[in-house]
Amino acid sequence: MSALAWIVIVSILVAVSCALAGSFLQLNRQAMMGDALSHAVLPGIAIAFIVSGTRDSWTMMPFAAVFALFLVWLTERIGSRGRLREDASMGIVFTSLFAFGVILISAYAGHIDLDLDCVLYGELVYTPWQRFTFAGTDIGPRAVWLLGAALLANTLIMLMLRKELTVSSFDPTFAQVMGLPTRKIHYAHMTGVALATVAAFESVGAILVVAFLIVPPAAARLVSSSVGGMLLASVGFGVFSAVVGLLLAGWIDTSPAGSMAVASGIGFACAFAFRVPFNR
Amino acid sequence: MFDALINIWTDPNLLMVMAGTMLIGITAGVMGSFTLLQRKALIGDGVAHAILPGVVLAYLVTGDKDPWILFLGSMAAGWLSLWTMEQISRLTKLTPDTAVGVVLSVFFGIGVMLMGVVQAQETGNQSGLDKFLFGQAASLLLNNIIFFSLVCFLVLGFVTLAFKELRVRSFDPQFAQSLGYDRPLFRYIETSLLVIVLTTGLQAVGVILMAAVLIIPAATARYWTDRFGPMLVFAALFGALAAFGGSLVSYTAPRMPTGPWMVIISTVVLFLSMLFAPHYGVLSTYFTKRSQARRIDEEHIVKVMWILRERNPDQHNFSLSQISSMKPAEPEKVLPTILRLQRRGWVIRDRSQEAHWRLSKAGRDEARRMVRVHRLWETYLTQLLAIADDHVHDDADSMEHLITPEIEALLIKKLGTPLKDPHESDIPYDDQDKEDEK
Repeated sequence: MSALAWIVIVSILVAVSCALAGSFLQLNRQAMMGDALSHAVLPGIAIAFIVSGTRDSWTMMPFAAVFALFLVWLTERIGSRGRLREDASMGIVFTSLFAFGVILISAYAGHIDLDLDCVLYGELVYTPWQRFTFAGTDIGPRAVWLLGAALLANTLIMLMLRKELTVSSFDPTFAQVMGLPTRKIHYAHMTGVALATVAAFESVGAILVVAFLIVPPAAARLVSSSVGGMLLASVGFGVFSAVVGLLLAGWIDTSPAGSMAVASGIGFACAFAFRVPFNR
Repeated sequence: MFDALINIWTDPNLLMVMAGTMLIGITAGVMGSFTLLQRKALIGDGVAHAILPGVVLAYLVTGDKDPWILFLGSMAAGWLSLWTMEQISRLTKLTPDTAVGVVLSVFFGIGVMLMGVVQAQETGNQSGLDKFLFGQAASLLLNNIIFFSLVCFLVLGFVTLAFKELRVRSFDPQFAQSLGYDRPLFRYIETSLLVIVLTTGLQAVGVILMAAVLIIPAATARYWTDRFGPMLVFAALFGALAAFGGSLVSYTAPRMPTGPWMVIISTVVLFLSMLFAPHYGVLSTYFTKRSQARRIDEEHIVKVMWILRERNPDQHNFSLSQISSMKPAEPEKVLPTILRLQRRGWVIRDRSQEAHWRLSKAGRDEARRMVRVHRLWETYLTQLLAIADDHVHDDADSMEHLITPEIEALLIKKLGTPLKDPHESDIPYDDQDKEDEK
């Protein structure tokens, strides 16, 4: 398969898994969690580099996921003490973790080859050449496998927990009264988001992950009136952003990550123009 | 050693960085208090990112790196981003933080796209995107310091002039509107100042950590005070402290970046405050809760001893097992509570028997008050609220600790000094038990 085809596949995989994971963040009123997660995993990535000395994504994945869940946990702890709202506590935790990551990288700058640029923008253009070899045979680009796994995990979570997630995002109190394990559901969902974030992070960078987690679900919310419809529309907007973004980047000859974020903005503007009216 | 210490303080580089970052810490701390109290904690993150396309576009159009032109570009982008966020949350059902997220990623995407165009034009020149993202406190110049001082002066001046309005609006926007305290002019000035502070702060700490510099000192201040004025002062102090520490770290260890250390130091200060602050700290709430729980246990024990006396008119001293059988507290807490009461002089240990106690005069007064209030409340619930008399005991058991003498007087007046409660027990008013005085 040609390199371009792989790039398109990687982008679409990122878009779809982020759209699925981001939709329930949107419904849970936690949209900015996407932004927070993609920054908070930096120390995990730095530690994985320092410990293993390689840039192998399979090593980075668990370290990053640990920090993602740490963010979710600490945000909840601080928020539940009542003095600070959840959004403030999230802002505090993720920026502190990011600062910690930058310090780690600066401290080991001489020893590790970790470039903050690639963390922020990813290396979408190079993904077709970073191969994944299994049992001695080359079975395709690493990013495709990684993202495929994240997408599979997220699809499974959505299929198994759709009803529970729907109830607990629209009416958390009712979900608790019904005896649903709301905390476990929340953490299962957050694990899905973390997996999607970390997998996508490496190939497309933090900026695009944020855009893909927040913008397509927000656009989908504007044009749909059911959860199933919103999930479908969100995937649709995600794929639209990926494809149009790539075309845009090729046309102007600029960063694909930036262009896809802009394309998602175009999608959002369309959704805004044709939004379903609502009553406050 | 001593010389080295003096040398640090006379090094113009360090002083420059320190002055610059401390000015930013103060202004950002004050502005951050507003965004935090107005429940827009993450807005700073959004606007800081959204400034990028403004800077790049200003450069692309004019081809000039004059700081004033870039400043104007970033002001325009900051304003536009805030306006867009407001429109999204006003016209759609999306939450304000979704609006922040959408604007943040799309604006920043535009910026990154434009950066790509700039890079394609001038081969190999990164033109300072790194500086924009992570800041460069080490390269602050005298010009920057003068400008930061001006911004700081403007912010503090505005806060002094508009103090009353800002205070009311930060805590209760609707009330502020009804008072006519929501003047558009002040809002525009406040928004502009926020954008200016973010733009200037970016130079020192960068886009991503700007949100932290804005809200962490303000969040820390929330743990120290409930009042608006002191909160601003605390936030400014914590901001300055973080900047002081951050620039000192990066001076002694030159490889260390200033901005991230500022953030780490303010986070440490925040966590220390969360633990040790008076009133709202973890330790303080733990001790308050414990002493309240102890007081409730003590009140239950004296009440139980009163009731035992009532049921056994011949007996004055009661054993531990008698008291425990009335279940006044968790079993393992009964004895420690009795010993505390003994130290306090509310119960007296009987010397002739093993582990027997009776109420002292002071203890009896307190016990009588508890029983009276309990029974008055039961009477109130059955008579005036028409609740069945087998449903009122548990409610009275928790209310007896909360009813103040004023409420008690009111109850007595409303009920006309009742002598019996719904369960036909006496409601005790005066001390009739002279027996125990001996």
